[in-house]
Amino acid sequence: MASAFSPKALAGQALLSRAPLGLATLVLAVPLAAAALSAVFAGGGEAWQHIVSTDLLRFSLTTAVVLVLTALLVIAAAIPAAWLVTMHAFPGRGLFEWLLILPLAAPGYVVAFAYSDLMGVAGPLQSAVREATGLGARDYWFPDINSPAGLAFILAGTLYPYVYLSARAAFTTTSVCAIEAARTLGTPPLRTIWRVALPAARPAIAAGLALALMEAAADFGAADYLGVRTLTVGLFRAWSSFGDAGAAARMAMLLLVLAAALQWIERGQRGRAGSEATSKRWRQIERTPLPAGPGALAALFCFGLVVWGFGAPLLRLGWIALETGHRGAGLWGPLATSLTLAALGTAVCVMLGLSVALGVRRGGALAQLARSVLAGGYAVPGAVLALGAIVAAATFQINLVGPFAVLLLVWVYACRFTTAGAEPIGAALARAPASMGDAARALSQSPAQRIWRVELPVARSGAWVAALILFVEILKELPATLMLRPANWDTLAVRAYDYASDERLAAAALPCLMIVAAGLAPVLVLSWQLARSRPGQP
Amino acid sequence: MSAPGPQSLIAAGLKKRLGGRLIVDDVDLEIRPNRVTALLGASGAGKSTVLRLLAGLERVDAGTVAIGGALLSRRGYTRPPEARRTGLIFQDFALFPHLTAAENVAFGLAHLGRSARVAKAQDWLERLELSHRADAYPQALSGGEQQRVAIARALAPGPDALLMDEPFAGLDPALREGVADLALSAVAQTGIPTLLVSHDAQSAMERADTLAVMRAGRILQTGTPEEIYDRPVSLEVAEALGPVVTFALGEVPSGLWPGNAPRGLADPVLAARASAFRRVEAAGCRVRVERIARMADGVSATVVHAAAAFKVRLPLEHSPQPGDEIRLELGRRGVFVFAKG
Amino acid sequence: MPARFSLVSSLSALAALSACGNAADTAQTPDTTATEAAAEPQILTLYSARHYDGDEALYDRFEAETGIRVRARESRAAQLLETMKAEGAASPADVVIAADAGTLWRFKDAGLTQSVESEKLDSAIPAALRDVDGHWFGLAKRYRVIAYDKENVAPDSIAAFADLSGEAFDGEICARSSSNIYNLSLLGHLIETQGAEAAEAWAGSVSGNFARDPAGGDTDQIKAVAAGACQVAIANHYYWFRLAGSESESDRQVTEKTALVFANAGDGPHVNVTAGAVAANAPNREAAVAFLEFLATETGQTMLVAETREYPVVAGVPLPDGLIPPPDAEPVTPLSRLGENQVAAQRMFDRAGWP
Repeated sequence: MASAFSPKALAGQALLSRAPLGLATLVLAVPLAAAALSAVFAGGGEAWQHIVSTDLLRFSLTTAVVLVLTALLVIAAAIPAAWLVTMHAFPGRGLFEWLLILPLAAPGYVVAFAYSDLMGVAGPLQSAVREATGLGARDYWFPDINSPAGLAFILAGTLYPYVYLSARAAFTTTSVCAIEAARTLGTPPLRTIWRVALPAARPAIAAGLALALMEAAADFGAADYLGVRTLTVGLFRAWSSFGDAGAAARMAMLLLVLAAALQWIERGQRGRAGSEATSKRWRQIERTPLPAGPGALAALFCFGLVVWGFGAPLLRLGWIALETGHRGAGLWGPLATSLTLAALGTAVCVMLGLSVALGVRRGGALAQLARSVLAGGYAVPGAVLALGAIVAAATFQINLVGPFAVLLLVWVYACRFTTAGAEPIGAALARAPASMGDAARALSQSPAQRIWRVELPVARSGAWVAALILFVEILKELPATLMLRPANWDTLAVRAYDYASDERLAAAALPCLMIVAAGLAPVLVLSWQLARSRPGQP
Repeated sequence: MSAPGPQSLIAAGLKKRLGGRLIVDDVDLEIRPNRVTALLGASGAGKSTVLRLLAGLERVDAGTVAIGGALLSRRGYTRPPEARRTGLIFQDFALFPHLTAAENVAFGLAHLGRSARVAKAQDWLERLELSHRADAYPQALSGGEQQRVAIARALAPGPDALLMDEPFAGLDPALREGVADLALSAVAQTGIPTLLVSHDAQSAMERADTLAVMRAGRILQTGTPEEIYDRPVSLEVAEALGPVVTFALGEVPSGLWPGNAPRGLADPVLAARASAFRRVEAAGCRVRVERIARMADGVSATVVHAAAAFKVRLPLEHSPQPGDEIRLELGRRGVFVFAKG
Repeated sequence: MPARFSLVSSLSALAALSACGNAADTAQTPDTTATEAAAEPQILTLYSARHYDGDEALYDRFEAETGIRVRARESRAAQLLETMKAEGAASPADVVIAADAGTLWRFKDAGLTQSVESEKLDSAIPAALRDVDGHWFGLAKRYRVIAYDKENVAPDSIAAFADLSGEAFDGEICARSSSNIYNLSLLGHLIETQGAEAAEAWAGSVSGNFARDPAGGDTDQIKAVAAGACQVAIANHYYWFRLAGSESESDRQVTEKTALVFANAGDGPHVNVTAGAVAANAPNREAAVAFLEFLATETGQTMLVAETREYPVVAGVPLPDGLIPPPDAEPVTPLSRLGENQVAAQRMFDRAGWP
């Protein structure tokens, strides 16, 4: 027993609880800091002058337009869907409840490839219009997919599940009692939605929307393919075609400010939600059946959403793959690379996520800092982090070659995604009693034993979920991989993007479908997990 | 175990400052073997912090914690909880969700061999009448069962002391009595010094051998429940153990109290337990009954005298009706005079 | 920096995870590469910016003929450039292949290529399609052409790119955005033949004639002509031929409604090349030259362009399936000028309002 409180053991205790957290924070903060610093100190190069004089304002405005339109579309889609699915009974409701999550498996760039083909002037939709009406290509108006609005349409189609999930959770847990109270006070149902349900769910909806917009601002593949020049696309091009990291870093600064603003909103709203969501009481909601007409409309609406973000684009890509009979013989290498990178990244992110989640549970200023850095990384586009990593590597004169580039890439994955891993692990720990750790210590367990025998096993279910999410996220990741991967480390995402941008959509279709297929399983598991974790549910 | 038998857990001069506020201010406490010591106080009084200091979950800013002559805490030194041999019971039970009831109990027995561990865990589950639930996971157990598992888990390693933080507050009132009796009898068999932190005066008085009343970080009085109930040192202590009616000594309704105030008190206040009032046929003080509320063991009557209204407890058989005019008098027990403030 | 090398070797385990199993060579110093090359059948390291499934067969054929195994590292050109800069003298690269003369110019400009004197290459490849100093050699040609609506446009009216600035094509032109390298090279060419002022005026007039905002790739422009959204489109020739040879019925229909003109850019058609160069620090210089020479043989040429539907640069080599014979005129403007004019062209497009 003497060893338990020897100086060595005490130092070990401090090391176990603080060191990984500190290290994680430091490692993860570097690319962010490097991107910011290089933006400040890089001289205003010629390329930057050129960008400022011609494009910067337009890039910013385009980004703003895309974000606003995306937000509107996401809200218009997700909130009615969440409401219908939680509060009403209609044909197919149970199925739609989880089908509506599927777009999470489809990366924005994949959906963009498909819609660009579907909605182009020679695509099947416009051809059908011309055949049906006998009009010429210039005699009718057709929405232009290669536009900020088109990009918003595509991004919203893939991102509405974020808001759908948070709104559904809010409707299910927080506002049922309030809604019933409002009804007993004589408020008609529609007014109840406006006056009670929506205000009560607003923090959750705002938090989900902020996440969706972070993703939208970070998108590179879809915007680049559609030729919509957002800040992220501008950044990438400044880096790759002008070779000017300084100009890219300044655009990164604008994106960082945007990310910080979104994160601030998300944080603020989450704090407000916290006080309401503390109750663990949960009641089976009495779903109001919809009459036949409205019921069919509700089903049609939900069906439309699933088709929009998932069904239509994937069927189109599947059709292209089948029609052209592309074998995809050259895809084994990229598949192996994708799996290798995703596995490496997942392993690193899960370990970092565990140390952060455990650290946050213990509390303290360092834990808060770690959390902020991680959340910051998640909000920042991958292209910005990749740029930061490149700048950092250049500062330390590390050559971006071979293993170093892979390390750097995994590092960027960690910066970007660790928070996505820390969340489910934290949630798993939070389900355990708060005093569990103290109880373990009182039972003569050293801090190391406590972590090993109690906290890790408890966190395990969360870690599995985290691993699934991370694996898919890294599999889908495009801009950072594109900027940092060494030669012959093409992932499926990179290969799909390369094929598509070389106008070989037939060749791109197969890797796209492989990415989505790989992403589907985790999304389904997640959906199952969400249904199961609802308090009150056996 | 070299120690001859259970030893007292002693805290002396404990101080703890958290977030700039003095949460625990010079607390002395002796938790003796073979007795249950209850630390009673309203929430925010600093009780739980005292428990965490005793358990080694917090460092002390001043003072010492010791057991049987062995120093556990002083400023700059804290023997970590895992090296203290102190059992802990929490309000939220704190069971490990990934382990069954039996595995939870066996958790602290890592030093034993497998078969000894299983046997000992079974033995403790049996003592708490839980053998049939050995293989259930915490989420399948009721609150009462969970807390019994938590108690078995804390006692199984044979701790030197047991610290319980509001152990029964999270339970359904209907279950509370049974679980508490079973738990405390299991604790009593071990004879180890036991601290029970509670905000419920009734249950603390019922279950504790020694009571310590705490308020704003200080211990106001320590003694047997009877001593404290009958001879509180201050109005605050009196109020901590149950409802009290107070009058400035000059304004006591005439005829209510036959006693005399001790001399030399500045601004004396008469404090009477609500249960110290008696209904009398003659003399006493005339009051009008405003409301009657039925309690488990009598009634609570809101009565008015002149402008003053106060609540008294009366036995069921003497229950008046609202609107009745009755006469009240104070006896000797449960009536105190304190200096104001 | 010895510390770095020890780090490198300790990380070679990670390199072994490389999906294609050959990233480990990046961790080697030139010495180890040399000894390895001496001990085993010779290995040629190729840095390639191409991604075609048929390239493997090409490398196998080269090995069959020479006994030299090709180890290809594929990535984007900009990244290969940065990689080689970083590797410096330790670079294992023997040969670099990129799909644009402008890109090769950037490699040369960065000092990453070396001059090669080869009788075989010089005689097989027309002078305009290789670097004046022998730093790089064009291996496959592509033409920037005008695709037109067969029903409404006479091919004579679009014999030159300059014709597109006329009022006849007001609201009739489809083109992709200006940031694309193909458009940058085209304008770079026009700057050479017409002068900067005329080139900028041309860009302004053409963008004034657009039927719609530039969007999508070259294929999309050709399809837009077939659908009737515009009458002419600027595109690379092989996109049209890929549509013509597509498995998809609707793709083939596009090429039935449209045709191509190898439009004149002032001194002949606008040509660009997929080109190869020997790396400045090539560990296997002779093998590198042999590989380039192999690519300039009939076999090499045929295999190189079979899938891409580019034109061979060597006279007399049969064309890939479906290609029509190219114009006889070879370009006069040295292709290296296209790369040098790239930045100026981009700014010109930006000023002219060609998005």
